Amino acid sequence: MRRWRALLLRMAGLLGKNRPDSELDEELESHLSMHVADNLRSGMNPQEARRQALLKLGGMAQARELLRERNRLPRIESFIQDLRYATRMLRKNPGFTTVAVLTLAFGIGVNTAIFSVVNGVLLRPLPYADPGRLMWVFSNSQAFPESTTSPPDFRTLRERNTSFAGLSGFYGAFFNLTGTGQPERMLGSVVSAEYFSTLRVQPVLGRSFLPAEENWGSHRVMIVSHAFWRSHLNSNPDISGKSFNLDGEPYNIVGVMPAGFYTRNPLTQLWVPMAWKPNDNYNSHNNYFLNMVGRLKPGVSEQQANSDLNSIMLAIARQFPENKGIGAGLKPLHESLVGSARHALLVLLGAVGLVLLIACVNLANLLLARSAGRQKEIAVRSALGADRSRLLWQFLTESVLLSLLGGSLGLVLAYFSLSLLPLAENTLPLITQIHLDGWVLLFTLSVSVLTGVFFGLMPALQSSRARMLSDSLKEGGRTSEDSRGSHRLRSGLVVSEVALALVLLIGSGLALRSFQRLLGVDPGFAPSHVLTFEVNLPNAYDPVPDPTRIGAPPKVVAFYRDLLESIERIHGVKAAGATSSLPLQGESWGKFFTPLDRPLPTSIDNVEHVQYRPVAGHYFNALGIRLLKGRLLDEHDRADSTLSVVVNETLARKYWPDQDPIGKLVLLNPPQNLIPANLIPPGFHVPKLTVVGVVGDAHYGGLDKDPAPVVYASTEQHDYSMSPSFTVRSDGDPKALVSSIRSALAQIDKSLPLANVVTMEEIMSTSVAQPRLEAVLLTLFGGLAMLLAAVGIYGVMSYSVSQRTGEIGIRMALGANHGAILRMICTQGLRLTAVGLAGGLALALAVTRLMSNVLFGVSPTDPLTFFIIVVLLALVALLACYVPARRATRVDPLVALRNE
Amino acid sequence: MGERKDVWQGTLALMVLKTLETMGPLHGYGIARRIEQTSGDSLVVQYGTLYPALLKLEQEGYIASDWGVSENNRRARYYRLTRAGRKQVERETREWQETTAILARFLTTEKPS
Repeated sequence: MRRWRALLLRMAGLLGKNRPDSELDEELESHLSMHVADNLRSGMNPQEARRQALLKLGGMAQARELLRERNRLPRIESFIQDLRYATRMLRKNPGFTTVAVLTLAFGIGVNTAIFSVVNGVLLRPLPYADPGRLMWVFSNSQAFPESTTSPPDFRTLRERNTSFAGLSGFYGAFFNLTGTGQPERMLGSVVSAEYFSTLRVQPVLGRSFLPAEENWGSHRVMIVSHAFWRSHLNSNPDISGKSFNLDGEPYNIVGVMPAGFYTRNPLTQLWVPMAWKPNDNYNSHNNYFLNMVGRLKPGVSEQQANSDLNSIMLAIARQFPENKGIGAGLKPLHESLVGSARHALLVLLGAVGLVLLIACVNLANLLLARSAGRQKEIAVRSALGADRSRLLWQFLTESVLLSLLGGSLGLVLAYFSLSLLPLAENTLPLITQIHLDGWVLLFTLSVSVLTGVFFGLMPALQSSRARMLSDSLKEGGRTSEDSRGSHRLRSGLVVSEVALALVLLIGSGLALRSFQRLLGVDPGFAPSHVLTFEVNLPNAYDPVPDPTRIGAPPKVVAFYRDLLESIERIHGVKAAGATSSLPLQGESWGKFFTPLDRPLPTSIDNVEHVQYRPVAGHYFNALGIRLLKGRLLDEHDRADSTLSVVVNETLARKYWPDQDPIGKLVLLNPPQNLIPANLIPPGFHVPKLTVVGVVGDAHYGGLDKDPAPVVYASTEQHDYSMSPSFTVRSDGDPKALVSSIRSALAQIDKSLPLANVVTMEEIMSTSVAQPRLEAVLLTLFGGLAMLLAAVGIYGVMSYSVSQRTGEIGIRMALGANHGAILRMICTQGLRLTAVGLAGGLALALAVTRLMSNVLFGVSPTDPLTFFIIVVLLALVALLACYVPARRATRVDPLVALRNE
Repeated sequence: MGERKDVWQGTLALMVLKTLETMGPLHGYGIARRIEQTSGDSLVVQYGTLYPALLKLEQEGYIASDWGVSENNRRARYYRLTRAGRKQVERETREWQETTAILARFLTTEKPS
């Protein structure tokens, strides 16, 4: 209590609110005069009386100092003094200040920007209640690890599990929304009834789904996003009785979700309950398309849940043999959403950390050079009574002030660079979670302070050293020769700077090489001049699914045919076709594959799997997929002609390495005897298909993945897609075709929206967006590092030249020519660079291994990259030495010697 | 070194308070002389440390001060005990006595006969 009172009073002293210094002095004076008077009385002479009194007081100045310290808070006062002094120093050297603040702003700015992304994506919890308990649940088998599940499996898991407080199934789907003028295609999510309660998010208006709404017939209700509510319902809080047509059927709106709610895709506009007709194929164990999310009960561990799920899956497999070998698994929802971005982000974070480290080294160098010029000032200050810690504090105040200035400018830079985030939309998950929030600000503040202490400490320790102080006073007005210690320190800084820059540059080099490799991959099609779009066919096109029918129902066949024919009639169109999903958009549709010229598999576990793509029209020509052998599928492959398939090169090589694949018979099912009898509809025989052609490998899974075996069949002869992607090859700008295609579609069915119109080139560019962003950013950081390193070398060499002016003058006076001087300076710089390069190489060999997860087609220790970068950095270093070396050759021996 | 000084300052504070209690309002020089006299001149007060100690006690509210005129007509700052200061003297005296009593017992028992 009393202590606080005292502290408060002393703080008041900062504002001049307590006893003024003059009063303290007066008290001491009065003390002294009383003492002197006493001494005089005891017979001392006046001089001695005063001397004794002062002695007893311990010196007037010292006593005054002690008293003042007690009166106020000298530490804070001296801090304020330091701050004022530092501000003045920075203002006095605008050049130095600008360079330092800019260097720091870049260093701290990139760190803040990358950290805010890491914070939003990796660190920040998902925006749901108790997100750590939310799990991604998936089915697991040897052929399809961590894949989606089937509705019956999901329902059984939901019903029997004892581990989850809620387990919900969902999948994304597009809906054609009509009844509002222009038809629109909306991204929706089809979810089980407990979806929202599992996530613990409730609608802001209305209610969530009821269990009964999973029954076919009561399922026509929907919950809409906040954005939909604003755009389509004018934010009207009264939603009762409102309805919209989805795929031609009226759905009642029962709820509105809070703003910003989404799970996987922020563009999701609506949610509907999942329900199918009882005999629908969706309800079979054959259709794996459901995602699952579950909330673990309190106290249940992941392992417990895992064994719980798997024992249920085993029970299912005993009852349904087609489920044999299919288990289940789970992992934290956050982890599954972040996925591959984790590695990329960590690599970037490491890179910006290096940039900042290099910036620190540079600044330490700058400060060292500057403090050498301040030797006299420091010496005077210490002679006047400033002790070493006081000097240290003063230096640190200066450097931290600098770094805080740099940090605030860096924050501004980070703010603007985050506004570029939408460019990374397709490459980053959870992008809406990225903000400059309190954590980021705290990060920036701590990084700034740490940076300031880090780069300020070494020069401060160095220049406050006592020996140097006395030296520089003795040397008087002469420029002091650089002491050995500080020279070694400065050289060490340059070496470490070169080493760090090398590591970062090699990282950028590897990322660039990897990206170049990726672009060099032959996609297997010709992407230029190709327009693509999607159309969603409502269930009305396939009213009575008939499992025994060959190919698509007549209405779907007619739709494909009519649309493709009318598109091909448009002027400028060379070919048009359709498939289920386009290259570079993922391997989505797998099928069993049984070549009949080999021994048949004896168990369902041994049946092969391949990728399947139904095609319509002139798909191969439209995309430019090359025909290698045989013929392509065309309008003659109809339901009543021989069932034909085309395979890709990988498939042909895998199954018929030394034979001609043309004419081979295959099944796109297991052999009939391996299918459980209850799954075979009456009158259905597994169809045999004939291979009629081999085409080149188009990359479906992505340029960085080896092409999988693919079978193509005609939409009219085998499985078909109700949400096809169309491809149109034009002889000019493909985008110019959009309006003609839109009106062609409207003429066939005006309730169908044309969706997702993009060129194939755009799809290619999107598919490599993440590696491109990574390469661009790493190159940027690498360039920054190189620039900083060059500035560092330049600074040190310039300083060294200025220190050696006298020596150079003598050498020249003794007959050294320009070349010799040039060589001497450059050798000195290059020797440092070489040591740095060697250290950097060792470091890079150890560190780049961490990048292997984000590299494609290039080893993390790629010798060529290492070589090129070393040479590049050496050249830059040479240039940075050359400029000061040139200056050294212009030293006039006479002037130099006169200065001595 | 810092610790020894603290103990010294602590005792100095008590001496100051006790002096003010017995003598009434007094200026710094007077306090110093009085302490030296009471201790039979076996204690030497570094006058330079006395004034910060006085200032500290004042900041803590145990004493208050005002300008006054000394016996030989000099302006001097006079210190007097406050109510809190009086209580503090009692408390500290008691504590000090307890401590010295314990220490005395401790030292006599430890001494080998």
